[in-house]
Amino acid sequence: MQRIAVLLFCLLCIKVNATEQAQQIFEEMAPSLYQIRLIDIATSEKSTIGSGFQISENGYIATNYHVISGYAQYPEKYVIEYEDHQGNKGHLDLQTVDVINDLAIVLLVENLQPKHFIISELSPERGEEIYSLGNPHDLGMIVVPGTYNGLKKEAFNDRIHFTGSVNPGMSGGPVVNKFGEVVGVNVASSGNQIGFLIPHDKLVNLINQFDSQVEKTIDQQISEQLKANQKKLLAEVLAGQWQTKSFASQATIPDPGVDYIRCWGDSNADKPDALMFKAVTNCQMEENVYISESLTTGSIDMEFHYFAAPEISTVRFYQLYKAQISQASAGNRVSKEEVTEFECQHDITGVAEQNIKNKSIVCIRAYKEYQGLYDLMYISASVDRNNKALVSHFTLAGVEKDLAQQFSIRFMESVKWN
Amino acid sequence: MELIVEEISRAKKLIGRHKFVSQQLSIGRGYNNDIILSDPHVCADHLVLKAVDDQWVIQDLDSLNGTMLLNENKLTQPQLIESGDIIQIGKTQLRFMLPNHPVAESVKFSTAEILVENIGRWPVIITMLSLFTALNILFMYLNTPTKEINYNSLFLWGLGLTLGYALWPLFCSLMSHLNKHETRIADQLGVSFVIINLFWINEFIEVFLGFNLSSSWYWQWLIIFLSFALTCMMFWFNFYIAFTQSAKRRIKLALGCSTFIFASLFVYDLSNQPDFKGYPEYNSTIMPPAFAFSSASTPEEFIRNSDDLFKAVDKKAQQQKD
Repeated sequence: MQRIAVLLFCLLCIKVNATEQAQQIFEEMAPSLYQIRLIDIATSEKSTIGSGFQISENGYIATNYHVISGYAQYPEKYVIEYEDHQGNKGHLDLQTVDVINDLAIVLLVENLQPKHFIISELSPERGEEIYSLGNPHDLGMIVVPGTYNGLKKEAFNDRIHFTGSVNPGMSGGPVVNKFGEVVGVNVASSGNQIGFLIPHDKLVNLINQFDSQVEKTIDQQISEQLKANQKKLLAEVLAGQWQTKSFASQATIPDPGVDYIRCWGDSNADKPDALMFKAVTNCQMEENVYISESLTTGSIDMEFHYFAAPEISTVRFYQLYKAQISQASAGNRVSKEEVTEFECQHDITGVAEQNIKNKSIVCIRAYKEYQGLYDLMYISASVDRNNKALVSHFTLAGVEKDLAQQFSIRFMESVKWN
Repeated sequence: MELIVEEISRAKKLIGRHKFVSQQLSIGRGYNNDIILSDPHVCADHLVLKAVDDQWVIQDLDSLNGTMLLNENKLTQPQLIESGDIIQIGKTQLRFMLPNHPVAESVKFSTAEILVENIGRWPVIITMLSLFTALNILFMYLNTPTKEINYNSLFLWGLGLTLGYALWPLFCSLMSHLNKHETRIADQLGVSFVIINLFWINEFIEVFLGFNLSSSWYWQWLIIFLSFALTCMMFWFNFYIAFTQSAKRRIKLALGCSTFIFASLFVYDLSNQPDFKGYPEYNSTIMPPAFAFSSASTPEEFIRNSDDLFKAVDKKAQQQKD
């Protein structure tokens, strides 16, 4: 009994200690914390809110790209505004962005105050207490203590796994260690105390490149970043020899061997009265690059279907199978302003040494602003077996032509019957 | 002396034809006449025709509304009649013909006529209707993705579709009936369903080519052309059976109607296009392995061909940006 009491007391000590520390940090840093808002010029009302923090004496403020993305895309529609801890408001100028890491730097033009955050030089230790600052749901600045849980596994672009509540509106707010040094930036939450942060070194990189970046327009910056990102992604995916894995014990499908493309599977084996047996494997990157509400890109997804119906006639099987492949589409979100419509081609394809013959379709659309980037959608349906079929599909969003073509050939060559 | 009297409608269509052999012919509403008319605007003893020196002379008997030689003034005095003359009494028109009036050359049975006659036989019609119904039911069956199939509703659906399609030939028959022509329902049904069934072949060609030929072949025009030709053929035969008109006029009408239908479909299609298609539109036709005749191209060849797609979208992006 006594032991428990001691334990409880100790826990309480730590808790009190943590809360005090949080309180102290918050009070000290409050002047360099801002609420960042996009104001719709036509109505003078807020359209997006987020948080930001000052990173230098001369008024540079870091925030998330997605907080100010509306302005980055349509500068004539919005102004960026801040509100500091005393309720002062003023305008901000967009300086540079990093769409891959969802960061942006804006500049405070008036009401300059010198107090600013220091960016940590070291990453926190796993299990270390860190503090997230921000203004959730426009409720006022708060501090949320939480735990650093290392980098998110299975991610192409690094994110810190933070155990603690990151809520909408806190986006762009800093996350600091107990010395008040920035170790990350709030970016996303997947609910239930799981939050994601951008590691501080991404912000350091952006600051280091600041001088060369501000020379370019925002669109140029985004275009270059998208190109570099897809180059890195596809180089990594295409680097090794692809492994293959068995699919529905009838076929082999590619396994690019990178952990950020994750596969999920399902089948209708639980429905004994289904006419056709169907199995599906869906592999996708669970992250993408957010450019605006109507454009996401930078992702790869693949899908494989197996159909079999030994009991029905071949003609009927093919009639039903045909309906399964007519609706394929690309996985990313786009709108008319950003991309052209798809252009498609089709043919019967196959490799001599491989025992498969497919009807293959490839469709491509181009990005209007980010010239040289394309979305490529591929779907292929086997047409050489009487009562079973294999469908393979992938989408590459925001890729250059050469890499897209290399990927396509590699993919096509690694789908076959057992 | 002989005289042929034809009663004709105002559209110059023949209503009745009578041949008389006598020296005198009276026309009127009274029962004492040789030709008795029921037109209330005609007088009891309206006019009389007399044979004088191998010629017929017409004389109005002082009737109330008079007698008009077509497009001329009222008859005021006896007048000579020429073969083919038309008179109007009251609202009735009569045409007089002499026995030596020349007639058009006899027309040989055309191949079209023989074809229509053969197709219009009931065994052919029943075969065509059954074929159409059976194919529809078959495809409905093939497309049903469930193990349990309601054959009753499948059958009724197929039958209903056939009845729906039969409305067109019936409509053509009705039109010809309204135009005082022979209805020829059997001919219309037979010809229409032969052509409707030919559309199945057209569809097969479309699927077969779409499956076997790559997208670098522009065979879609062939399908559009064939569909247009079949539609034209359908109208041509429908008009041929339903109405009498010159060959030139029939071709013009058939072409006109088909063009109208295709243009309407085209405009409808255009107006139904969304502002922006975020999804790809591609040819997803596949057929069972037995129908796969084309050789497979390698992934390299296939992807190399996509260079053209990249060029095409680049051009589009450039145009839309400017």
